[in-house]
Amino acid sequence: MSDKAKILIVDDEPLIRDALAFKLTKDGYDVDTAEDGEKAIQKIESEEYQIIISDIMMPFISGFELVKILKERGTDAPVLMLTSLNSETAVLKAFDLGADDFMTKPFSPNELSVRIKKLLKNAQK
Amino acid sequence: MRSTFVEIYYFLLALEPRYKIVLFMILALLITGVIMLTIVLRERSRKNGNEARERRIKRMVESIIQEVVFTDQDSSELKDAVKKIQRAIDSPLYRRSNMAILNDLLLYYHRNLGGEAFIRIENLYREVGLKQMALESLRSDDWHLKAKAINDLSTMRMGETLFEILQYTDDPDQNIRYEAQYAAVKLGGKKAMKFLDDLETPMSEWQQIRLLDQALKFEYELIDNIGPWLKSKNDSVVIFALILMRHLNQYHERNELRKLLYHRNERVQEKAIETAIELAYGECLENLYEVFELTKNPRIKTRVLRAMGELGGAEEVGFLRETISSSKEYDILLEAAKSLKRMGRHDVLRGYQEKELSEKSENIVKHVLDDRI
Repeated sequence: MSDKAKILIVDDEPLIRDALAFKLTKDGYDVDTAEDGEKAIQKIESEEYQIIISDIMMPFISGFELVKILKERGTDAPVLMLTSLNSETAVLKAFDLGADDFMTKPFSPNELSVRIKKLLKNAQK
Repeated sequence: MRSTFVEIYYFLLALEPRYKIVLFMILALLITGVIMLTIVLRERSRKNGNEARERRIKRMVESIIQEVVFTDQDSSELKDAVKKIQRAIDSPLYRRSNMAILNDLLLYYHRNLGGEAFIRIENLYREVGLKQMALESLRSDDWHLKAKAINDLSTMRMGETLFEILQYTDDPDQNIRYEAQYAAVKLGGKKAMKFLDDLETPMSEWQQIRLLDQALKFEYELIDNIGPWLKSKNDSVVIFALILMRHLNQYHERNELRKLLYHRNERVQEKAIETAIELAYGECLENLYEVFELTKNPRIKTRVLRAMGELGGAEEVGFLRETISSSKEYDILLEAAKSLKRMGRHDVLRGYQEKELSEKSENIVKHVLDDRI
């Protein structure tokens, strides 16, 4: 088994998914992707991830619902919401449901890397 | 075989005219159907071909773009990447269409990424020749190509193209000039807003909101000379200048504001009264009395009454009281009563003698005095 941290990217936009996967692979993580909440849950059931990065507006299961389901199931992996929604309501709702961090698009890939490192560090404590 | 055709021919010839017409129509429908089917199949195959080409181009250039955007590259590596992209999109037949695919891809990344990645995408946009392509489109005769080119150049923050873009800010085509005005403010900030000095074409309210929104994002507070815009012959520019005046609290332009209270265009007049209220410009009250007398538009009259309620003092109370007892128009009565209430003069509203007001006026006053409203 690899000692690289495993990250799941959940986003319905293939270009964003691929770009994030490219960036995080370059950063040295083991990256997996899912195009919607349903597929993400299937993957989380069969694999263990150290971080989950999720969009909010997705088909079938939204990012909010996904966080809620994950927290109800007791998933330990921190969830970072990465979305175009930048209203205060969305931020509050995400944190209220149990998200660990929140970033809005357009996002800086370098800032994302730093936040992931921080989340991983906090999770190890 | 031949005899069969001859038999069919004589059979058709012998038919009654109404059957001949039906047969002819069936035949025409069949031929039309075949033609339509051919066109549909051809279009579908062309569309499939375009989609396959788009997927192929994206697959080829996506990884190169990602490499440029997400990794630190020196100039020779960037040049290599640009060459690879140019090879991928090179085609004698589809070069322009391939460039458009690349353009959309870069715009998509630009919309979603920030920080250093943002600047790298812009550099790539320049290097692969998309800036040049947009400039060529600016010289096209098609309005949609021009408008799209201006939009792309401003999205990609190609500041060096500002001079070209400024030439379209007063274009006869509304779509082109609106994009150019927006791009000018985005790329050139305060200085580029000089185009408003000579603008002859009208600006819609939506366009004014767009420009204001864009101006708010930069050195907006440095816009210090809206005087020429307040004097513009273009009424939409005057209205926009009044909006800016409110946002920027440009009280030093109050004399110009006073003149605008008498403007020939009632929309400008209305906006000037609103601005006077926002700036708490009480000195214009004497002008507001004149405007009230001169105008026939009840909407302007109600705005004046509202301004009196907001800016006025004891002297205006008498005028408002008099308006309630003499006016017969519902909106004017209501606004005068509301203004008195806004001034805290409930005593005046309650102090009318019996029979001093008509039944209608009395009901309006009661309505305004009701604290539930």
